Amino acid sequence: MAYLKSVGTSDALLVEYEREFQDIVVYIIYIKNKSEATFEGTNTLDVKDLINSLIKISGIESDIHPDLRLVCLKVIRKVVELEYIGATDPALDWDDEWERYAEEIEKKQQMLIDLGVIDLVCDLIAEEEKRVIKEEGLLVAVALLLGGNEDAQEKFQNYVNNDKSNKFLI
Amino acid sequence: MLTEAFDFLKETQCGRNELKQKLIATEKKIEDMESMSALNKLQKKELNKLRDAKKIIIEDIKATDSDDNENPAAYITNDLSVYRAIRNSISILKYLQLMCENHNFAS
Repeated sequence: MAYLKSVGTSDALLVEYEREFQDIVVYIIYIKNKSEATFEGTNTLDVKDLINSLIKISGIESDIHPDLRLVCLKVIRKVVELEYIGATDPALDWDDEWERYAEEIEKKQQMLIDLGVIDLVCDLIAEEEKRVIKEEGLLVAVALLLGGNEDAQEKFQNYVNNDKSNKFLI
Repeated sequence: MLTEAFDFLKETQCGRNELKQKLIATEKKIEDMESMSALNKLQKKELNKLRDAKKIIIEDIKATDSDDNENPAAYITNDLSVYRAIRNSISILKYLQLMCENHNFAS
């Protein structure tokens, strides 16, 4: 029991857990190369297909288990954050050093924005009952807006303009 | 979310201020009693009571501290803690700041 408690509080173990999670996300990002090599071009998967599936299964109308919805959001967030080599913290906590990777980060932001991640994030922040999912949604929002991505800003603004029930962030 | 976090922080920090005032008053009473040359049985009992009360107040104040070692991965309920409420407020303010980024016009 003491060991289990230490798993939740040990900094070293938390960093290790974060690294393992990042390895999975790296695998997802490079799924195209891996699946192409494995299936010799007969069944190639693209990262966009996977992200699309994650968006669908974690949508507000899906009855997915909250823990899995949380993991989906975290994977989506990490797609952007992994471009900052060596960082394990959320973009919310980054210092200005991230700007060295601004170009790569913007490419990933654009891919996620084009896939419709912003509507998913806004729906979850506005409608989800579990606070931990709203919090993760906010972390994704920050990762998408990092550097003041204008497409992201516009899409968030459109959502707020159409949010007649004023549920978003209230 | 921001309103909830703000309300929670207002409530806990007002409570914290009250507890700190109580602590100061209790410490003063203890000091006064300790400076008395001889205490009778009743006064000794009162002094012990005050010391116990001081311990309880210190514990209550600790509960209103922000625990920076709190692990967000351990959150399983919707309940806020001081650290969580501050973190939520920072996230929302960062979001708002990023929504304004690149729209700053030089005067």
